[in-house]
Amino acid sequence: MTAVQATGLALRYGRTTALEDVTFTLRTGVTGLLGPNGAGKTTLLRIVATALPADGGTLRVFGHDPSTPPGRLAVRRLLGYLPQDPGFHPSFTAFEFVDYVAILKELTHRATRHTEVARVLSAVGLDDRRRSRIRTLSGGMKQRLALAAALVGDPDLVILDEPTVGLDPEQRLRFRELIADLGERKTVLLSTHQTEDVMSLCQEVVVLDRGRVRFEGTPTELAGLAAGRVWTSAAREAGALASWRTGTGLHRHVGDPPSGAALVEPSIEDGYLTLVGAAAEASAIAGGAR
Amino acid sequence: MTATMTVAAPARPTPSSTQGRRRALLALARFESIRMLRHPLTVAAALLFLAPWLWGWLSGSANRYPVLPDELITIQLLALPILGGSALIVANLVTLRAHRHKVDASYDVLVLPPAWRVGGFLLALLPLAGLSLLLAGVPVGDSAALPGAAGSVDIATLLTPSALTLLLGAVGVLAGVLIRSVLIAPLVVLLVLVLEFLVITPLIIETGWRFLLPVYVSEFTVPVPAGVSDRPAARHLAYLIGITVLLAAAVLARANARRQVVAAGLVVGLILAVGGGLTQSRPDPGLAAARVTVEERAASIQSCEIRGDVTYCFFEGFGGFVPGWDAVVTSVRAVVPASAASSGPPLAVRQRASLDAITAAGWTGSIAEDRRVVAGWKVEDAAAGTPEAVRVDTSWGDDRAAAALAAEVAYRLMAAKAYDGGNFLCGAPAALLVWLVGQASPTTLAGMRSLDETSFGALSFSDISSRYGILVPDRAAAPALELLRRADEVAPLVERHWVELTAPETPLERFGAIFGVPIQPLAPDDEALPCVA
Repeated sequence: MTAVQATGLALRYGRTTALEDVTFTLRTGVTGLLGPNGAGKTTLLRIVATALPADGGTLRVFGHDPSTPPGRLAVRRLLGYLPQDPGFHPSFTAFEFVDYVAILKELTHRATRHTEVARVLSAVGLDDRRRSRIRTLSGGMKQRLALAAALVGDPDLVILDEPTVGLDPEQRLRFRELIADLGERKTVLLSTHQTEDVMSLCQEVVVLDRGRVRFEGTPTELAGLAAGRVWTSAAREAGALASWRTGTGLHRHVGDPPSGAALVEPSIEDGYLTLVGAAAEASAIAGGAR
Repeated sequence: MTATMTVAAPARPTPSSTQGRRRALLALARFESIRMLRHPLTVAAALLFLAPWLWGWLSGSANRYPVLPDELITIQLLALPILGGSALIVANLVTLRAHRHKVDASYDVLVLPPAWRVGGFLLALLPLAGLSLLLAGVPVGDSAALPGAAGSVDIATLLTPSALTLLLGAVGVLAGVLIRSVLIAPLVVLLVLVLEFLVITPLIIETGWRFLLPVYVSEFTVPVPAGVSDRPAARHLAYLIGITVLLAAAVLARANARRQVVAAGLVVGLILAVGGGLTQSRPDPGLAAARVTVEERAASIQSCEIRGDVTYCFFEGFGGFVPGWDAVVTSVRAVVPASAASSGPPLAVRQRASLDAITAAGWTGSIAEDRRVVAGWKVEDAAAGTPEAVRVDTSWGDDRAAAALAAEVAYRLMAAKAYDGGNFLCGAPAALLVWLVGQASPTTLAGMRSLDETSFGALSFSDISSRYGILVPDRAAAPALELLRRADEVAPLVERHWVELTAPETPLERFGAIFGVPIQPLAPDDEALPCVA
């Protein structure tokens, strides 16, 4: 089932183009949104989350049009949103914070709401910290609490803007476990810089660069963009898009391989680098020509 | 962290309906009200508000003869800056919370619209108003339970602290939706404090502006009988509620609430604010007549109680003062010779309220005017069957009031008539009166010393109205105060020389000769004093 259908979305801030002709589709499962800083990822997420109206294009979320008040309300009823820098009320307990969000999501029956709050706190592993003041929680706990707030009310569409930033490896793995579980039943749009998160979690990936969609497909297809363009050698090669020394002592290169190069299996990171690096190079050439 | 999301069945928001939204509004209001009630500022304000009552209760210094309407006015004046001020700041903090903690990005996409959220903040003020009612009710209830309490508790006045809490709380919410700074609320509270300071100055009390102010301030500085106040509490309450509704409508309009809701709020608010505001300042046609009755025909509206051979008459609701008056009368009669204790007509004490002498602007009459009024009272007393009644004030409970009544009683027993007012009491009778008041009881002595500390040139047995307060020149008071240390020697001499000492023509020098105390030479100023004939 199509959860989100975006067609030709556009947004400008004055003379700056934030998004241009953005088209993609989201279905049940986890979709990764990749892109360099300033690519427009957060802007796009905010538009899908109804926090920001688009200047142009059409957006349908479960068939609802968020550009109309009733449509926006209908979308919000189905939405869980974790922004990039979620704020907290330090004096609230973890339970109170999620309960408050649940009230604003119009979960009105008190007993049912409290059961739901307990459920999501348990889901993110904060069951034993439900009575703790937020000011006493660690950064990782706060991030899980923000996720709990996004998940309360069992939303059909969950939008997560870089949820694993600042988490240690163990916390990140546990987050992946949670999001993967969520993706079995819901539509999750995950914005991240972590290509390994995308590889291990996402069924689909959208790459956004300078306000435009550069790629939409599976992570394997993204990795496939670098097929035949990744090789290893004993020394650094200046002509490659990227080149670095790996743990084995060999150098790994992404770019146009020389003849006879020892090609290796590309990763999603290589595909992303190929896509974004090539675009950046093309842009630089175009800029130089002007 | 364990992935147990499938353990409990998830709950989802109910489909959109007005009823569901109302439930969410109430849930939000409940959540916020609990936080408001638990806020440290609310707790501190509650303790500060109750501090005077707690201090009086713990130290035993509380007035045992409170006048309930006046207590309620005092409570109102405290409630405005303390309870109202804390409600303003707390409500402002609640309104700005999402902004202060940078949670807006998350909250902006939640279901409950902004207008309903601020509606929840406004509704959350109601329990705070309930707390104000409770806090106001504690000292008032405690006072009302005292046997000496006077007057009755007007419900509209009792509700005024709650209305003030709602009003300033709504100001806090409005400030929050208009200006995203937490500095505004304390500044508004400061402004409220300045305004309240202005309110209690005669500059405002004497003008029509006081009707527009949120606190009810009596134009009288002492308690007055029921029915003579010019600002009906119920209309004042309606005025406050009307302003609050207008503020709430402004909040909802700012949050893009439905036009019908805002319009309804504006209409209701305007009706209450304008209706209550105008009618509270409109002169009541019966007010002037009621004031004339209280001042000049008190006997017609008073009740009387007979204790022993003394009749005590009082305004409605002031019967609780009688035991206190009786104690003073008994103590004064105990220090005069037995024959004098029953001199003249049967002893009576009548409560009097001289309204134009006790306004906030102070006494503005003249001695001649005072004597004319007192003469009228004497005529009324005679007609009411209580000739030469001793006059007593509408305030009671402190030592000074006891000393003032003791002086009136002493004069009545010495002269076999009530004090005429106006002129100074001179000669030996003046000194004797001072001695009798000081000798009657420790309370009257303490009250007299207190009055003496605040009197200059003469000892005035009244700290409020000069209309019927007995005045004794310092030259006559000094030897009597000296004699208070020698009660055992003096009492027999008082009994023996009673007739001579109470005769108006007996000079002060004779008093000095009888008791062996020095008398100050007559100063030129003393010669000019108008003395009671």
